[in-house]
Amino acid sequence: MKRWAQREATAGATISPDAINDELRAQQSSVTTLDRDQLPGNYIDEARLKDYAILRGYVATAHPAGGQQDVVVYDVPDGNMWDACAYPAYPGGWQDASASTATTLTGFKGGQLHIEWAGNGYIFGSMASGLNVPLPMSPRYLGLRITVNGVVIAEKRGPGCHEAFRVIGSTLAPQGDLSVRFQWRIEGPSQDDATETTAGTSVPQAHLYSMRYLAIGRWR
Amino acid sequence: MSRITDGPITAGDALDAASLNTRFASYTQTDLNAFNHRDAAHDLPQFAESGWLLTHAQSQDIGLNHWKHSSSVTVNGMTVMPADPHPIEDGAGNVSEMSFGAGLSVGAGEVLRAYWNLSAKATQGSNWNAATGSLGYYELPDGSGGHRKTDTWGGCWVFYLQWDITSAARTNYVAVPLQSDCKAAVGAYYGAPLSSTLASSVMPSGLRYATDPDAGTVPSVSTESTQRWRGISGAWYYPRDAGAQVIYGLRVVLKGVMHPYQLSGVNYLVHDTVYSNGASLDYNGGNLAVLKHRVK
Repeated sequence: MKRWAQREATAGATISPDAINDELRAQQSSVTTLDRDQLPGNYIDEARLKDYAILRGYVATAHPAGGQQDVVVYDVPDGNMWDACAYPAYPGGWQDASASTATTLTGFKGGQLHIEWAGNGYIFGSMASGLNVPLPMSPRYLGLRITVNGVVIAEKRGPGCHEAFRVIGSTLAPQGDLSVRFQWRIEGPSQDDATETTAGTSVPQAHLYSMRYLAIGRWR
Repeated sequence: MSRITDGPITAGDALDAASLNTRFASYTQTDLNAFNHRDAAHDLPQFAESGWLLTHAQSQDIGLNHWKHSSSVTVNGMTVMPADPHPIEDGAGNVSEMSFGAGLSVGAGEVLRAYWNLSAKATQGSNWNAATGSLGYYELPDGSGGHRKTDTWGGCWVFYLQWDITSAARTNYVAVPLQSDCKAAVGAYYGAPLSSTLASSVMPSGLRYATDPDAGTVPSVSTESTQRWRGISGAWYYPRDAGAQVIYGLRVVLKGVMHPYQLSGVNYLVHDTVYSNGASLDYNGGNLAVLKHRVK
């Protein structure tokens, strides 16, 4: 290691303000020249990197627990229908996919956020072409969107039948815990929709299941 | 970065131990610490340029890659239960498995991400509304005091992942975690609860629109929507919190025709063997890709 000494203090020497000032300035210079290239080769490498120093992954293999939408659920008799969203239970508008509180991405340090939300969606689209409904009829889609801290970062028209979906969003997000919501919506019935069976059971209109997500925060 | 702004020592200033120590302390750079010179310094030359953040990536074609669909692989609806899944292959019996050779280790603090897609086309067949046992229809009012069989839109083909974690011979494929092979008895059917379908992607086995539904009734026979080639895709995430898991192979398999079913408040996907009789699925090519990287 180099050593800077402008004035060596020796016994009996006189002292002046410059004796101190020069030494201080020299030390300051020594600090400014101690840059990262001068550090020992193994002072820092990937093995010594502190957790979450450059990125953090957030993965849910099932979201919510079991992977099914559990906010709007209409009970039906045993048989070929799911306990799922039916019109008597659907209040309209965007609904969360999880009945619990919003998903929190803890320890986000600020930077780029990438989110993937995957699953299977079901929408009952059989009544899209009603006799008395003027064009453009009423096609049915299971709308999907992701919000971060209340801001929509990705939105998709969504499944138009019983099919898999994946919504991918990316945004710059501020430092701090992030509040993420995975949301869905359907259209209301037209005047022609047959919404009940002859047995009087409301026909399920939509469901989401097999849901999982992966989010990656990168701040370097 | 902070900046030191102490004024210089001038003639006449008292030079005692306390004042000198304070001034020297100003330059000790106490914030030159492990954080700002180590944790935040990953752009140093001693960092490997690759292989430590993204620790593995692999991709391959699957199925039969005839993009003009000049020929395709046909899978008939499964009617004998419990049915084994059909592994995606090239039409000549060569299964499109992704081999990891001596094994791919997913360590603690890593996630394995798998993505797949496939070009497929379903044929619904004529038993979706068979009176003897098909789950594929609802009975909706026809406006004349009777009922009209109406497609539930629930019938589907299910694609999901299997892995082999036993040996490099890759002869023991099983469904990946949180995914079932849908071979468990559910009442009179075979299937799996939806909570065990978390590595799956589905596509419709057929779609029929109600013809001119009128004021809450379905007076006419439904209209079949011609099914065309469509792309299906799926994603699966496998994080490891502790320990390592070695994987030797990964592949996409399919089952069908399956249908929603509910028993005692539990939602299932079950095989509909009646609907399946006469239904089929054609598929061509697709892709299976994996990424493995650290999450912290």
